[in-house]
Amino acid sequence: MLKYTAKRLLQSLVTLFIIATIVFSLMRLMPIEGYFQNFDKLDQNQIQAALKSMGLLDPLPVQLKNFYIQILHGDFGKSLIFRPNVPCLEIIGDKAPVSILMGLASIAIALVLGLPLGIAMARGKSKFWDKFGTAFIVFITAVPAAVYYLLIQLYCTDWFGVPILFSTDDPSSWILPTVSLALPNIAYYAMWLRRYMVDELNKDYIKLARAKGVSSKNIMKNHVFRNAFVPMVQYLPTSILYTVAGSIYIESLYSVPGMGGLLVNVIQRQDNNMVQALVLIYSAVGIVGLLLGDLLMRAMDPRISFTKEGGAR
Amino acid sequence: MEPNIILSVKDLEVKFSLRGKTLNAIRGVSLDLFEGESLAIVGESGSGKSVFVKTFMGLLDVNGTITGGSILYNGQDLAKFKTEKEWLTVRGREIAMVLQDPMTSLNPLKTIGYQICEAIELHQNLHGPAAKETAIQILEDVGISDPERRMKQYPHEFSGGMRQRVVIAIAVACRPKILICDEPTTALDVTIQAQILSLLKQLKDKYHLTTVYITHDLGVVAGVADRVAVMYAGDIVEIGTCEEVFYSPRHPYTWALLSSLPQLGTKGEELFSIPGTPPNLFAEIRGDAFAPRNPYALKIDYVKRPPYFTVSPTHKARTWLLDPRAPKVDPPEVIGKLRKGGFGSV
Amino acid sequence: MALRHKKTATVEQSINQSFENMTDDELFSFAGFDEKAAEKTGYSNYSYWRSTVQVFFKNKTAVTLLILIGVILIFTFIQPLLPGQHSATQIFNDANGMQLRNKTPNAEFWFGTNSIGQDLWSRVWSGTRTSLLIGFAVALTEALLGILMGVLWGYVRRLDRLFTEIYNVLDNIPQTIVLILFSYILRPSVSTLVIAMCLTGWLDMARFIRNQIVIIRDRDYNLASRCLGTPTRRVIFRNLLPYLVSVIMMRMALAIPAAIGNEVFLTYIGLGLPVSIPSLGNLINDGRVLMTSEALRYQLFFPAIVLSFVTISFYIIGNAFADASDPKNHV
Repeated sequence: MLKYTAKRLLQSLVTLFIIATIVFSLMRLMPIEGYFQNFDKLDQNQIQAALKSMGLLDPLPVQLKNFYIQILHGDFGKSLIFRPNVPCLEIIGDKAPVSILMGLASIAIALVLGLPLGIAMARGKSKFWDKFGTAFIVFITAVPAAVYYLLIQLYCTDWFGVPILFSTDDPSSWILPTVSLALPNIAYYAMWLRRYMVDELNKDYIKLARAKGVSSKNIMKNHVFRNAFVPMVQYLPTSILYTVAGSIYIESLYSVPGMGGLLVNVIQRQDNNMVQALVLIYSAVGIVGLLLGDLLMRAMDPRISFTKEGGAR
Repeated sequence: MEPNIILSVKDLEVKFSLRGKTLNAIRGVSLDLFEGESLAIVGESGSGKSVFVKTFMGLLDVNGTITGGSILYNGQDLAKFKTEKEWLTVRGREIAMVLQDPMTSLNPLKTIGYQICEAIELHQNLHGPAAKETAIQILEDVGISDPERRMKQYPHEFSGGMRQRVVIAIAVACRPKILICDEPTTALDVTIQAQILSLLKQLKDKYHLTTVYITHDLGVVAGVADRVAVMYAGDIVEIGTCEEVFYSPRHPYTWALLSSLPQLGTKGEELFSIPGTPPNLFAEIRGDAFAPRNPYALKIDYVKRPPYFTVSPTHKARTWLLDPRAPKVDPPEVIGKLRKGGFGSV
Repeated sequence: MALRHKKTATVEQSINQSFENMTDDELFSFAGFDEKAAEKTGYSNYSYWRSTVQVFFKNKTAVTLLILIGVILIFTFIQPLLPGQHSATQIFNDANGMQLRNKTPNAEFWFGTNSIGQDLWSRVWSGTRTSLLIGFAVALTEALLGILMGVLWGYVRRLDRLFTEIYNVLDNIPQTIVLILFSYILRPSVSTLVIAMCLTGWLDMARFIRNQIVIIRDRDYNLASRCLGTPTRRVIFRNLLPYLVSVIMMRMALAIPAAIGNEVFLTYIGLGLPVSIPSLGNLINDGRVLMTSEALRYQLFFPAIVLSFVTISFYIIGNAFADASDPKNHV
């Protein structure tokens, strides 16, 4: 386990390093307008001088080296257009709490609704839940989120009399974005759990458990659910971390002052440094999620030593 | 002394529905199981032997139903059981089962201690440390050394043969009257097979079990069974004591089955194999199901299903060849060799 | 059903009658043995592809949707050629030279006009065409790239370790990020969108192919082929790929709605196609801007309905095909 953890950690770091390199290099390909607040008003000399002061005229390897050093010091550069000269991390730090809070609330909703839905579907006793769950999963996974998010915002604000835009002080304005954010996760959790539980149900050890006289209820509880949860654990951290990192759609639709909305904002305004910082943070979040998922699953499954090391997941 | 009948099956019929088609898996089987005996049910795959015993425990797949007949056990007709509550009074407690593949029949994420204690707590009304102690005792009985340490281990830490011992321990921990062993050694190495069989024999005596073996390995049958039932296409075509079925078989299918034993082959000659394939059970079968593959088939075999003809009080066979009107047919010569040579394995 | 019962009954009767007339002597005479008749009793006439198609066609929903999708696909191409159709990009003016803005659906403009006076009906079908084009292009590229890499990865043992490590690194990169980053850098056009989406999409396919190949590679029939000296290339195409084709088709069917969804997403965050190229993504985005005005919501609904129908259909078809291609579901 220790060896695996170390190996997996190293792998994540390498990935992060590669992503940072790619992101940085690609950013150099961008039009230089993204580095100036008032590009149109500057003359060529001023532009060159500014670029030089930002170190953007150095050869690429030197720039890369400086960039690594910066990042290792926790410096992601300063915003250029969005809020000029404010450190990117400070801006993101301002925005993160709302995203995290909303994300946690929606994860709670998704777990509370998604897991029972998955179990109900796997048991296959109730035709209604099976049909409803399947329709729900098909709709949510097939239709692009933009469409149903829009429809929810369009109609539910009227029906429930809640504000169409978010404000931190009004609790009722939290409801729609949080619930909307939970919808895809409800569908995914239900889908995964159902699939894994059905897989487990078809295994021989379930037959033996039935043959020794364990009731279906206890088989579901002690054998099927527990075993089906292990492969699910692999996906949970990623889905939780992404949700907590803020939804790009939801936050811009409801004007939630979080990280997801920020990304759309800085992309549209071409603030290169902000885009770079956010992309790096989102990548790191994704990588950490996958790392946690792999480690958790390994910890929960006693067969570790028997599964092949180094194979593709 | 006439032995007690512990389980009595009469004219059992089982049908499966598969995508709108009906499969006649068991076609009117009757069988009396005697207390304390060891019965082997043999037949090729698809002959319905596994389905047959699953009906004793209500373990048919959801698309399978008992459509006729009865299974009398302890004054109750198991064929009439509908709810899980009814079955829970039988499963494990009265009838327990050992499955074919020990590699998959244990929950990989639970310690084997948990899996044995689960059975003990359900059926012996023991809990906590008492259940654990009993579990250790049983593990010792099935020949697992250092049981206290092994209790805390997971299935993957056991070899195939050891896992099968654990599965057997679980079955025994239920304290059943009847133990069904569904191909208990098929998935194991030949060297381990003999150990498992002798263990099962020991446990049968120790716990006063009635055992039913399902197998296609005639060597296993000769080693463990008192009586043999030969199944073909969802029907028992011949039943008798081991000696009767092996040394004076009467049904052409039994002849064919025995002739295909490699031990009976002559060096340099091709081994015997039964021509053709088992019948399509989706279709209604008329007459004797084996007729199309039977070189000795009579015309009546295509029309009328043969009844059981009694050969001896313990020996019955379903073939028209035993009818007084039928021409006399001698079993193939190789069958005679069995008497001289015996079985190579076991 | 009843008819068939009757028929078999009569056949049985005729046999019975002929046998009833037999004497015991005849009945108890040998029937003779025919090896062919013995073989006929089995269930041998199984064909993987026929069963797959049969099972798929039993799923009425999926078949209906497949037909409808086919019709829509053809329609998006012939729609501009039909009589009485407007151009998707032309701005229409009234008699006074004013743009026909935000006209609700009417006889002239079936889906109404948008905020600058373009015909929404034509734009929706033109947009569907663009989105389907992106979907198919992405699905096809992902499949080809994925198969190529997967086959190499799985079949050439020397590459396995290297590919596995590369995969583990690449797989850790969040797909959304790649999508955003590359769309941010590349100038938006249909081809750059397709490239951005394909950058990571092939990974899953390659991993799947690799895993299947590793599983099947050492199965006996391939071992036998190799022992007989069959070249590797031939083993791949004859023994491995046919087994995988159904799953590949299913994955492609599912890649299409995903790609269409990604286009909508990229358009939404401002990295999509320019407005001059109608796509479902930018039609929905246009509709979103106007949705607070109840009278103009049709501009969101029409593209949203078509989009949902197309993506759900592909999803259901893909899953139905997955079920059908699983031999466990064959009788």
